[in-house]
Parts: sequence; C-alpha cells; structure tokens
Amino acid sequence: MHRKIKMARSFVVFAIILPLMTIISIFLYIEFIQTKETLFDVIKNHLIDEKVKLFKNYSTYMKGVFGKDIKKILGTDVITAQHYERELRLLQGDEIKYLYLLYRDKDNKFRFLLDATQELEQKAEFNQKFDPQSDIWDKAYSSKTFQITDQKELESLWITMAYPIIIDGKVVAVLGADVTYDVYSKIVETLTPLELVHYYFTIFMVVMLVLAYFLIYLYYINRKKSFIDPLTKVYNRQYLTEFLETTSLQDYQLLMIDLDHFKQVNDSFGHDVGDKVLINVVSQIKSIVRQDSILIRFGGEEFMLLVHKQDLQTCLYVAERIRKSVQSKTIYTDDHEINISVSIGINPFPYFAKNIEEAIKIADEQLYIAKTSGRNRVAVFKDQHKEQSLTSKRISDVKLAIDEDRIRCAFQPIYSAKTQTLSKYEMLLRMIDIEDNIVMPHEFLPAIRHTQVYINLTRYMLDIALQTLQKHDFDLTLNLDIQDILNDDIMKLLKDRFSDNRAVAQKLCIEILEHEEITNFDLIQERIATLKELGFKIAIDDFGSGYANFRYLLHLNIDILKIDGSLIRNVHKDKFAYNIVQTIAEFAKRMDIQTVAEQIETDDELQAVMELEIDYLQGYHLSRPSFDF
Amino acid sequence: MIKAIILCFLITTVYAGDDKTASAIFNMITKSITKKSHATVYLHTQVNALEKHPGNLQIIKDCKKADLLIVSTMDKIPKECQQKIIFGTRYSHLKNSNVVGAFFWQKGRPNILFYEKRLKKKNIKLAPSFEKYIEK
Repeated sequence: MHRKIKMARSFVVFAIILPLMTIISIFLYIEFIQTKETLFDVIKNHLIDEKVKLFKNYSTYMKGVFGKDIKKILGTDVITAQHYERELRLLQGDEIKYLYLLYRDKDNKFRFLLDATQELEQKAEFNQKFDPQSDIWDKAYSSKTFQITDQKELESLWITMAYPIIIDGKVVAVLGADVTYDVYSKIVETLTPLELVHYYFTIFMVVMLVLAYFLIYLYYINRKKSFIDPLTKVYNRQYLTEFLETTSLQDYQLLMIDLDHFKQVNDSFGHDVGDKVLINVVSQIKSIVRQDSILIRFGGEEFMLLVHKQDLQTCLYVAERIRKSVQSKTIYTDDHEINISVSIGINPFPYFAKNIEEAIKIADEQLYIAKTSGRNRVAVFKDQHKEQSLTSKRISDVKLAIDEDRIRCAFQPIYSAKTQTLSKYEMLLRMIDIEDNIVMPHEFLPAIRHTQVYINLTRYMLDIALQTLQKHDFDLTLNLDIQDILNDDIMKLLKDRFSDNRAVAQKLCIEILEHEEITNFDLIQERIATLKELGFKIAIDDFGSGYANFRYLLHLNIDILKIDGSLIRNVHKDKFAYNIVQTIAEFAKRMDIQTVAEQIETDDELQAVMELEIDYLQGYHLSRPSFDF
Repeated sequence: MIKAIILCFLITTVYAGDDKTASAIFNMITKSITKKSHATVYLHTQVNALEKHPGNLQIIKDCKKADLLIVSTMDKIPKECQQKIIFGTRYSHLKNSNVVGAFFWQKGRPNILFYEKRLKKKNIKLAPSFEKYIEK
C-alpha cells in the first residue's frame, strides 16, 4: 500500500555530484602523493648517479695511491691519514653529511680508516668500531657493487651509500656516504602547503559527503513521515501532490469514501472511540483492495482511494465490497459496539478531468449523490458525462499548447493546372501534443468551438498568415468555418489585421467550411461582402458534399470552388463522380469562378481532373503538407 | 636470544633524542653489568634520558652507594668513586681506563662499545647479547 517516496531532483543531482567531486579530490590527492614520490625518486636517482661517478673517480685515485696497503699506510702515518681525510672532505659537498672510509677486519667488524667529519663529537678515530645499521656494508664487500639504503630510522639522514674500493679484484675498503635529509626536507617544505590543501580538501569532501548522505537520509525519512497520517497510517492529503508528480491518473479510477454519521460517533462516544473506528474502517478497506492501490486520508472521515484502472464493473464490485464489509462488521471498542457504514462516489475516468481537483470534484459530486440518496451506497459518474470531461480536457490542452507555442502551421502547395507551377499554399492547422505527436484539427477543434480559446487560436493563425504573407511573395489560403464569419470577434480580428494591409489581404484566400446549415443567409452575404471589401478572396471548401451547394454559387460572391475530395477520389473510374465534377467545373467556368481539385492521390485522378479543365490542383500525389516551404 | 633481538631492535630503531629508547638501552646495559634488576646508579653530571625515564634503575645522589656511575663528563668525578664501575656516554670517555664501556651517538647512529680487558678487571661478565659490542 505504501509506495516509494520520490526524491527531489536537486537531491539526486547533489547525491551524484558530491561523490563525484569526492572521488575526484581523492584521486587528485593520490596523484599528488604519487607525483611527489616520483619526484623524490628522480632526485634521489640523480643524486646517486652523481655521487657514484664521483666515488668511482675517487676509487681509481685511491688504487693509484695506496694499492693493497691502504690500512697499513693510514694506520701508521697520522699525517698521511689527515691529508687524505682533507682530500676526502673535498668530495663531501652539501648533500653528504658524513663521508668515511671503512674496512672489514678479520672478525668481520667494520672499522674506520678515514673520516671526513670535522665535528669532534661526530668524528670517528682510526680503527674505531662502526656498528652497521644495515647489511649494505657486507653486501658491498660480497657483491663488489655499490649499495644504497634508505635511512628512515636515522635522524636527519636520507640515504646511505656504500661504495666498494676494489684493488686487484678484492674489496679493500668501503666508502660510506650519509646523504643528508636537507634536500628531501626542502622539497617536502615546498610541497607541504600544497599537499595540505589537497589533504584537507579531500577530508572536507569526504566529511561533506557523509554529512550530505546523512542529511538526505534524514530528509527522506522525514519526508516519508510527512506523507503519512499519524492516526490511520495511510497517506495524507500532502502525498497526493507527490503522487501526481510521478504518476498519471490515466492508470487509476478514483473513489471518494466517506464514513456515514461519523460525527454522531464522535459526539456519542468521544473522539478516542472515533479514532478507533477510523483505524478499523481503514483496516477493512486495506484488506479488500490490492497492495498497489493508494489510500489517502483526505479529510476527517473522508478517504480517497485510487485503484488501478479496470472495467467499471470490477471497480463497482470493489466499491460494493468495501461498503458491505464496513457495514457488516461491528466494531467493538471501549465497551461499545459500533456499526458504521460508508458512502462511496466513483469517478472512473479521472484522467479526462482538467486536473486532479476537477477529478476529485466529480467523485465528490457522486459521493454527495450517494449521501443524499440515503447513504450506505455507491454512486458512479456515468459514461455519458465522460464526453463533457473530455471536452474540458481538450480545451485546457489547446490553451496550454498556445501558451507553450505548440500550435504549428503546415503548408500544402496548390499548383496551377495550366502552367503546372506552384500557385499558392493552403495553411493547415496542427497541434503538437506534450508527447510530440501531431494532433489534427478535427481532433480538437470541435471541443473548443464556441469558446474563447477558439478565438485565441484563430487570432494565432491569422497572425501567422499575416507574417508569412509579409515575408513571402506567394498567396495563401486559410480555412474558416462559416460560423467564424458570423462571429463578430473573428470578423473584428480580420479587420484589425488586414484593413490597413489590403495588398496583403489580396494574397489571402479564405476557404469557408460548413458544419451546420446556414440559416441566416443574408448575414452571410453581408459578411462575405465585407471580407471582399477588405481584399480577401473567398473560396467554398468541400463543394459538392454536405451543405455546400449551388445556392452558394448563385447568392454568394465567391471566387473559388474547392471540389470535395470525396468526388475527386476515383474520379477516373467513378462515372457518377466524374459527371458531377464535370458539371461543377462547367458551371463554375460560366460563373467565372475558379476551381480547385483537392485530395488528388493518384496519377489517374490527376489526369482525370486535368481533362476536366480544373484550374488548380492539390493533393498528396503532388505534394504533402510541410512545416517548411 | 630474546634479549639480543630486543637490543638489536632498540639499537636499530632508536632516534637521537629519543629518551625513552635510550633509557631502555641504559637499563639493559646496567642490568647486564650489575646483574641487578634494580641497580643503583649515580649520574654524573647530567644524563637526560635517565633523569626523565629511569625505568628500573634507582638514581641515587651518593656515588659511593651506586652500583654504577653513568657519566656525561669525565671532569670532577668524585675521587672516592673513581674506582667504581663507570659507563660513558661519549666515545672520548673511553680514553679513561676506568670507563668499562660507553653508549653514545655518532653520525646519527647509536653506538655501544665495551673493552674486554676493562670488563675483566672489574670482574664483569656481560650477557651474550652484548658480545658483538665488546672490543678485545
């Protein structure tokens, strides 16, 4: 019975953008750290390369000076040792903090040969034991290649290098270099503010993300709560708006359910008992309807039930079951036995209503009928009322289409039979519905006729005609109903737009259609005369069918006859139709009226009307209507 | 063996100025020299690590009653205590033959050093875990 609550779009966007930004910031932070590490590696490798080259040269030099006797010479001659320590100091540079020469004794203990350190406290003496912190010294001896270790454990040292001095293929000493942390520290010092910005931004984003999801969660929970009636635990009225945002009433039938004489229950037994009765009735309704039905507490003791669309009999059956179930069940509460009944009003076609309020109003009217007819009954909005409802919807559809600029004009070319060239266009009204489908005029015009919307639509069409004629050099024809000619508002629209634009009016032909028989022939004559004075040409549309007949040709000063499409269809093989079209064409010629054959759909039809010397030709065979020229 | 591992761990992880770790090393050395769990130690004149974190050592002010003297300088060591077991905190302290060993920092590294002859002279037998720090 409870549906998922829709989350606001802003929340959805928020819920997507924030994690995305958080992921990006984490990614950027990781990238930054990796780049920093890469930078350190590059600097470290560069430093090592430089020092290795230097040590290699020093090694060559030492070989030349000492040979294998390095330990003996340095151990016995202090002056020489001091001299070579000074030389060693020259290699030190800024990056190396301690530079020293070690040898390995017979007990495999490392001892100092030379130490370039000047600081007395730090300077080791000749033969002083050196406690290795890593195995690079032994490895340098055994592998005869230089070794490197990171000195994370030693204060202010970054890396230590052990470079073997090899004489006659034997390692006689190892040059030790402790590279200071200063270079590393300087880079860290430079990069730390940037790293901190990245770090705190990432932390901030993660915190924001957690906070945002928590808020969304709270919002979701509270929003859900706000849609539930605390007493009966069904939806409240607020939920209806939420529901309609996501769901169309097209799929539902609407029932308004009201508890009969509920006020008496409250007055006689108190509100607590009244509440229990409400809960009980809701429970009974819920036990009858399907899980996907929507039950809303609409007012005090009034409920709205939206059941999935089914045939009217099934809907009535559900309503009757609810009514009977409530009526038959005695409610026992606080030592009282209460029997209650419900009245139900059904609107089986809520979709045809202009809006939800009107759909509810219709169901409410039925509920009122059920109440006034003695209560404890079901009243249904009858099918014949549907048309009324549909008309109302159509009017609002057209109104909305005008507001949203979804009224369009298609233009169908009309060709001259004599010159076989394009002569003019017929303007055809089209409405684009909200699903982007083209709606033909016969689907909506009857519903809006005799309303202000119809006048507005006519104004809209006349404006398009005027603009098109001012922009282009061709003639246009426009359809108006005979009743439009009799309508003062529409006549005023025509005068307002074209009285000062006679040249433009002369390019516009008004095709008059008839849906009802003309009773006021004199007024029609007068109106056509007025239109002709304004400069318009007048055509009779669909001549030969319906009410349009030869009387028009005799009494109305018309310029063009459009022969009805039903006569043109199969004119080449229908002898009867051929004769009628021939008669119309000959008569029109005698009356100096031009003729148009419309709805030409085949080449045979085209040949036939050409043979009959019709002046103008129109139809899908020649050209279809198009929104562009 | 466990002691050797702990000592190695302490030696390899200690930072200069890490007083707690330095104190732990002094404690192990003192215990190994004196064979006492709560040896009395006289500090001459200032050994920060032990003053802050004496651990199991009992720091006393009378050097005569001390099992061990740990010194930061060789100057002005009370005459009556000069023959006691003295342990240095600099390499230079080892130049004095009364100093049996030293724990000191050099080139950012902690160093422990004992002289075998001096240990024998004082009848000190260190635990095997200190073997690699003894100079013959």
